[in-house]
Formats: sequence, C-alpha cells, structure tokens
Amino acid sequence: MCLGACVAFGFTVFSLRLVDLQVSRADYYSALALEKHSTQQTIYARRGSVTDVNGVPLASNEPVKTVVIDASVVRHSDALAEVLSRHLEMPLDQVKTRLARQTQGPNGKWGPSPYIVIKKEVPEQVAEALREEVLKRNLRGLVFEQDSVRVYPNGSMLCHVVGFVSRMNGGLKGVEGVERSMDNFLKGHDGVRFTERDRTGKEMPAFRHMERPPRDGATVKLTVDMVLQDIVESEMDAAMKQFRPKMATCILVRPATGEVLAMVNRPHYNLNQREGVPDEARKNRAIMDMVEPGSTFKVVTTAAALDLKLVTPETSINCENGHFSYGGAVLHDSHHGYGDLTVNDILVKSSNIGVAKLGIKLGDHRLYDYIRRFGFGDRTGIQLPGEIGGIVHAPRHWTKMSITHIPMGHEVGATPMQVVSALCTVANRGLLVTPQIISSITSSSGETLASYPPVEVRRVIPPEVAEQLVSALKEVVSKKGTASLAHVPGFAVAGKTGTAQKTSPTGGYEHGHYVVSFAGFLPADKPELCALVLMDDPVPGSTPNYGGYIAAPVFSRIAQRAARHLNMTPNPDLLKVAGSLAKNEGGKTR
Amino acid sequence: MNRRSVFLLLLAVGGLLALGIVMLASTGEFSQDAHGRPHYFVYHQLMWLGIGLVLCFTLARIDYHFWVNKWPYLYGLSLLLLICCFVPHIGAKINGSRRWIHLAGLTFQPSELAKFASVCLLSWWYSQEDRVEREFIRGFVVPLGLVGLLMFWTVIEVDVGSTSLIGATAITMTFIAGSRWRYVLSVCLMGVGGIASAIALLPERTGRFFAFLHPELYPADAYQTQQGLIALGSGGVTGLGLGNGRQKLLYLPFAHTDFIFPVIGEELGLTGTLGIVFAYVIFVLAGMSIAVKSRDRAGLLLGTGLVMLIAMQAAVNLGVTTELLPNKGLPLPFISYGGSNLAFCLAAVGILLNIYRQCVSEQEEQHMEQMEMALQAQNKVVRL
Repeated sequence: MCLGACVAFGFTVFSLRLVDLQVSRADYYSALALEKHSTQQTIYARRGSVTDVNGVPLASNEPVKTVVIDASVVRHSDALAEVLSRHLEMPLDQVKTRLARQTQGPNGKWGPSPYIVIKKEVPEQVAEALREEVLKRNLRGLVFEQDSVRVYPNGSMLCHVVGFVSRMNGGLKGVEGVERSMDNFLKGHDGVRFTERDRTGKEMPAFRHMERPPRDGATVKLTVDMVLQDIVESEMDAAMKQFRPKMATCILVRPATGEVLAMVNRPHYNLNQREGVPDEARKNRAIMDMVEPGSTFKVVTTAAALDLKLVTPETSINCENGHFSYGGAVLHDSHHGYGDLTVNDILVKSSNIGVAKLGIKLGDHRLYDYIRRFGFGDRTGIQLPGEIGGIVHAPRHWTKMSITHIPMGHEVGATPMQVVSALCTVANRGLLVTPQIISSITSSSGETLASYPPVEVRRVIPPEVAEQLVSALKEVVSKKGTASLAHVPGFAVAGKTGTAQKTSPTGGYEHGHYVVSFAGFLPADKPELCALVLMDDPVPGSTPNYGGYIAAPVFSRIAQRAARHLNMTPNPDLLKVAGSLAKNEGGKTR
Repeated sequence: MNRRSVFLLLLAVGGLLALGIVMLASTGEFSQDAHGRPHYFVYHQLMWLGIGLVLCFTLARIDYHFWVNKWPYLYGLSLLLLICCFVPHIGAKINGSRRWIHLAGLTFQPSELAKFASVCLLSWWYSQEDRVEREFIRGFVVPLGLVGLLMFWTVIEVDVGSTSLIGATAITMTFIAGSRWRYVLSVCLMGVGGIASAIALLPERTGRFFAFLHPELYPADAYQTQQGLIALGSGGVTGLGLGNGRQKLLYLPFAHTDFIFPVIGEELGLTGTLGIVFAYVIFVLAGMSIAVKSRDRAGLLLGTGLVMLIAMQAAVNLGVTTELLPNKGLPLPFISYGGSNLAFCLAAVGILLNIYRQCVSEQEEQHMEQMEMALQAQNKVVRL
C-alpha cells in the first residue's frame, strides 16, 4: 500500500504541474501560441479616383495581376520556367534564377521559397493566357495576386493638375498634382487580416479571425470641366503650332467663386508614359513658374492710384511723347509716344510712361501695399502642390528706377495664377477670392468628406473703383485699345494685354524675346469667365510680337467656345458690332 | 472490495482507450506520415485495438502461472528478437534507432516483450518455495543480472526509455519481494550512475537531457517540449475544443504518438488532463489492490510488476510532456498511437484480470478471517 501511496503522490505532482501550466501560465502560453501561428496580412485599399466636375474619370485603377510562384509545390521547374518566360516576355535565365530562390522556414531549414514574385503588373489577358496553359499542362505552384495600376484615361490632358503616383512600400503614393496634394484622401486605409498558419506556412481558413476591412480611398472631384479643358487644350495646341513659344499657359477661372475651370500648360506629357519626360514638361507652370507679368500689371497700379483718389479716370497725365527720363534712365512707350493721356487711356493704350508717373505719385510704400493686397508675393492657396509665391521686393530693396518699372509689371515675379487671381479681383468688383481646383471629396461609401465653398480673402478695392477699372478694361478690347482681337462676339470683354521683355539669365533684358499675355473676363458687367493666355517667347512670324496680336486672338477663340459651352447669354446688340469689328481686324491694336 | 477494483480498473482502461481513439482522429490527420489519408492512424489503431482486446480476453482465461513458469521461453524469445533488431532486412532503423522488427507486414517492438519477460522472470524467481529474496547472490545478483542482459540489448538499440522502465520495474519488484534495503539502494544509485553515463556517452541523449534543464541553450532539442508546453498552456482550463488544437498542425512533432498528451491539454484543457491523471491513479490503485489480493506470491509480483510498468510509462510520458523530466520517447499507455505498446498494455490488463479471477473470493476471505480469529482465540486460550 505504501507503493500505492507513492504512485498517488507521484501523480499528484503531475496534477500540480498541470494546474500550474494550464491555469497560472495559460495566458503566457496562449500569447506564445498566437505569436507563433498568426500572421498579419495587409489587404490593400483601393485608391480613390479623381474626376472632373461632371464625374468624368481623370485617374482610376485598372486591375492587374502579380505572378507569384510557390516553389515548395513546383514539380517541373524547367517546364514552368519556360512557360513563364514565354508568356511574361522575360529572359529564361532570369526566371530560373528567381525560381531557384531558397528561404529559411520557421523550423530553421532551408527550402524552396513559398513566395517568389516573378512579375508585377501583368495585364489580365496575359495572366489569363498563362493560367490556361499552366492548367492544361498541369504545372503546379502558380499563384496570381490581385493588384491594380493607376491609369489616366485622358493621357496628357490636364496632366499637370492630375499628377501621378509612384509605388512605394507596396502602396501608391502621390508624387505630383492632385494625386499628391489630396493623397491623404485618395490613398484610403489598408485593412489587416490576421490568419493562422501551420508550420509549413499554409493559411488555415478555419482559424481566420480578427479582420479589419480596408477603407477605399475617397473620390476627389475637381472644379475643372473636361469640355472646357478640351477646348483650351485644342486652342493652345493650335497656338503652339502657329507661334511655337517655348512655353505657354492658359487658365480659365470662374471669378465669383475662384473655381478653376481649365488649366493648360505647354510643354506637357502623357501621364501613362512618364519615362524620360523632362522636368520642364512636368512643371505646372501656372503655379510653379514666375514671369514678369508686364502690362497686365498696370491694372494694379491704376487701381491703387484711383482708390487713393490721387487721380480720377479723367485726370490727364503728360506722357512725355514717349521719352521719359527718370532716375538716370529713359523710359519708352511702344512705337510712338503720346502727349497727354487720361488715366483711362493710359490703360487703353498701355502707356509705360503714364503708369510710371502714377507709380511715382503713389510712392514706394503705397504701391507695394496695393501689389501685396492684390495677392502678389503670396501663394494663392490653390489646392495643388508646389505652388510658389512669386517675388515682390520690399521697398527698401528697390532701386531708383524700381518706382517706374514695377508699375508696368517689371521687377516683379508673378505666377500666371496670381495674374488671373488679380484680374478676377477686378471682375469681382474688388473682392479677392482664393482660386480653388477641388470641388468636393466623397468617400467610397458616398458620404461627402469635404466641400470647398468660395473663400473670400479680402476686399482689395471698393466696388466703385473696380467699376472704373472695368470700364477702362472694356475699352482695351475695343477698336481704340491694344486688344481688339480679344473681342468675343456677343459679349463685352474686359481685359489687359501684357508684353514683357524676357529677362536674361545673365541680367538685364533680352532684346526680341517676350512673354506675351492677355488676361480678360466676360461678360464685363457680370463676369462668368476669367482667362489668361500666356506665351513665353513666341516666334511671331509676320505678326507683331505683342500680347494683343498673339495672346488676345487665342483668348477670343477660347472664350467664344467656352461661353457657348457655359451657356452664357450673348448680348444681341454686341453681336451686331461684332460684324463691323471683324471687318476691321487689322485695326489699331497693341 | 475486489469486485469494485476490477470494475474501476476496466472503467479507467476503457475511458483511456476511447479517449485515445478520439484524439487520434483529431491529431492523426495532420501528421506528416499519414500518407494523405486522414483516418490512416485511426484505422491502424483500431486494428491493433482489436488484436489487443482479443489478447486481453484470451490472457484473462489463461492461468497466469503459465507465463510465470514459462519465463525461460519468454526470456529466450525476447533476447532473440532484440538481437534480430540488428539483423538487416528484419530490423528496421527509424530516426536513428533500431527498436523495431518487421514481420508479416507488422512492425513490432521486441522491448515490449522484454518488459513482460523481465516481470515474469522476477515473479517466478521470488515465488519459489526456496525463499531467496534476502540472499545477495541467488536472490539479487543473478535475477537482476538476467534482467540486465535484456536491458543491455535494449539500451544498445538506443531505447533508453524502455531500458529505464525495465530497470525501475525490476528494482521495485525486488523491493516488493523483500530484498534488503542496502541492495536496493545501492542498485538505485548504480542505476542513476548508469543513466548518467548513458547520457554522457550518447550524443543524441546529451542534447535532449540538457535541453530539459536549459531550454534556451538548446532550442532545437527543446523545440518539441516547448511546443508541448505551448499546447498545454494555451488550452487553459476548458481547452480550445475537440479538434480545434493548432499545435498538432505540424508544429508539434509526434503529436499522435509520444506527444499526444499536450494535444489533449490544448483541446480539452485542464479538465481533460486532470481526468487522464485521475484515470491512471485509478488504474494503478485498482491494479495494485487486485495484485495484493492475489492467491499467491507469483500473482502479487506479476500484478504489481505489470501495473508498475504501465504506471511508470505513463509517469515518464506525463513528466516529459510537462517538462518535469528529460525528453524520453515513451508512448502514453492506452492513448498514444503505436500497436505493440497498446497490445502489451491490453495483455497486461488481461493478465491482471486472470489474477483477479483466481484471487481469494470474499467467501474464502471471510472463512479465512474466521479461521484466523479462531486460531488467535486458540492461541489466547493456550497462553492463558
């Protein structure tokens, strides 16, 4: 019986040990077991799409396959390698090297890798053909993984705005354009699936648990209308053909809301074929490039002088017959000088001397103040990455001649977007509105995540002063103004030409090289459309190298087609005038 | 009393056998050598269970004295079969050990027969009319030397587990037979020394032995034990549910044979494991009580010897899987997959049943008690 007691005691020891293991240390071992079996698997979220204002897709996802081989179940390695290399158009040696890869299993032994990526981004048709052949020949180990690539259905259209993505850490990351600035909305949140695996790494579906579904990216709707964009693109292409400028930009904005309706830059590139595209082509010049705005800037100077009541539109200014000595330099007006001009006519004729005199009247600080109030020197705040603020030097850095140069748009660096924005301020009767390119953001479940109502920045000039400016700018686009070619039948157009000599990289100005532009809005009395056409260094041929001859006709054509698309009501009276103007096309323009 | 013992014994054995089949159905499917057939092990084990039950009921009808008196044949046969393990084409080498022989499509471990032969030998030796158990040469050295020869052949085929089992049982039986304390103790010390030297000499054992003391230093050797502990620990009190164990999915080697106990712990929890421990305790106590009540010394020694063999095997297996003992490849009696061990265990139960059948009946017992009391009374009277 003593032996029986010994046995009973012996088994009591086991019982105690079992209680210790299974009760006291159960949590520890459960955690250890979970750690050993569980693997985390990322379920990639779909990237949201980018659409235009009407829902036309600009960036979307196309399904592709990733070809993966589980080498641990491959039986006929050479045959498989041959099939893979033929279908995927890869060198046979490369496929064989990949197939031969060994990995260390969880038990520490080296063996054929169960996960070898052979090729990524394989189109569906190729994958299907490969699958069929592999099935027919009964080869094992082939796995297709679902993936997607970003495609841009419109190719090069709106390329600078839409931007593109690149593959980083298994996901897509926006590199340029809206793809970059709205990346947080577009990318979505990857889901996670915890699965348990047996020792050979095979998933055990019965033990699948704790799944966090992925949240797909949101849809970003732009304010851009692809019909307008197409109009602008085609007109700009025609202009590029005719004038062969180095670069060109055109922006269409709805002045009251600041919505960008179209944005075109040249040179451009195809978003789907980005290899070897030069940086110049990738640059969104509308917001990333500075130019000296030239005469369009005269609007700012005039606005300041009128607002401060230094002059009225009828005040007469002596324009020195085209030769004005100031600060040891002589300022010229184009072609021929003028005698006395009213302030109104200074804008209409685009007199450099006249506007310089207005600048002198204003003085450094007041001029600088108005320039900044029109938004120059600051980023406009459009929702695109890489915007620059331009350069407006503070008065203490000005030279003696600055007060005569800055009023006519030299010695300042402005982006095309800033110029449009400043003109929109006049169109809005003095209210500066932030230009916007994002209309709304909608989550994958259809709920609106963000919308972008118009943002009023500040009142720059009172409505009366703006009204005075508008009437002057209307005259610019008349027979007596510099931009009669910007005329749009049926609509009163207000606008201003710009012709700036190009600055040389070595300092000073380059003779014979110009940045020509026209910025205008219509209808002048109740503006619905504001546009800027800017061409850098055009080769004019027989046409005079002025904004009024090169940029203004392009504006006219774009505005005519855009007005029709936007269903703007033409004024019947102005339609009649159009006929007479058309006959007089070679009129006095500057 | 004795009737209840045999009832409890059969209940414990039946429960363990049933659990064994159920757990084998749960674990066998995932074993690498299941030949792709999910129920391969279950069918095999059921076949062996049939053989074992036939053996059990046959042996229950054969007088146990037959085995005790025929020990030289059993001894000679087991010695022959042990040597056969080293004969090419008959012996099979698995995992570096030559423990098996192939005969007529069945694989058999001669060490199982050797265990039985040793127990029969000692039962005969100490149950002779000529009482030798207190003598050193005739009552201690010679019988243990004969058992030692079997142990030698077992240990060189690299089966330290079975060898220790035979040794420990033999020592226990000499103790029960009434050997002197100093003989028993000195042999115990020698046994410990022998195991130590075996561990030191056999590199495979060295790793396993120290793995048990320092699992972190021998990750490869401690792997199995560690996986077993994870299985037991993650089962908790109630377990993950029958069939829901994860460690058997190729993480835990020998999940259907030597390491089935952790899988039971994982799937059935503390309830299952304590139930098994309880069943073994019942088995041992009931078996012992049958042996103690046997008709003669041969029955007592044979019964305790067989119960000890099974009990120690169970104890070693439980100790190994709970990391109380170094890793020894011994199956869990009645539960683990493995035909010869199951057949042996059921044969042992059969012999125990025969011992029970021949034991002193209660009527006889009462009669004997009365006789004794009468004798005592007589003595008293005489003294008075």
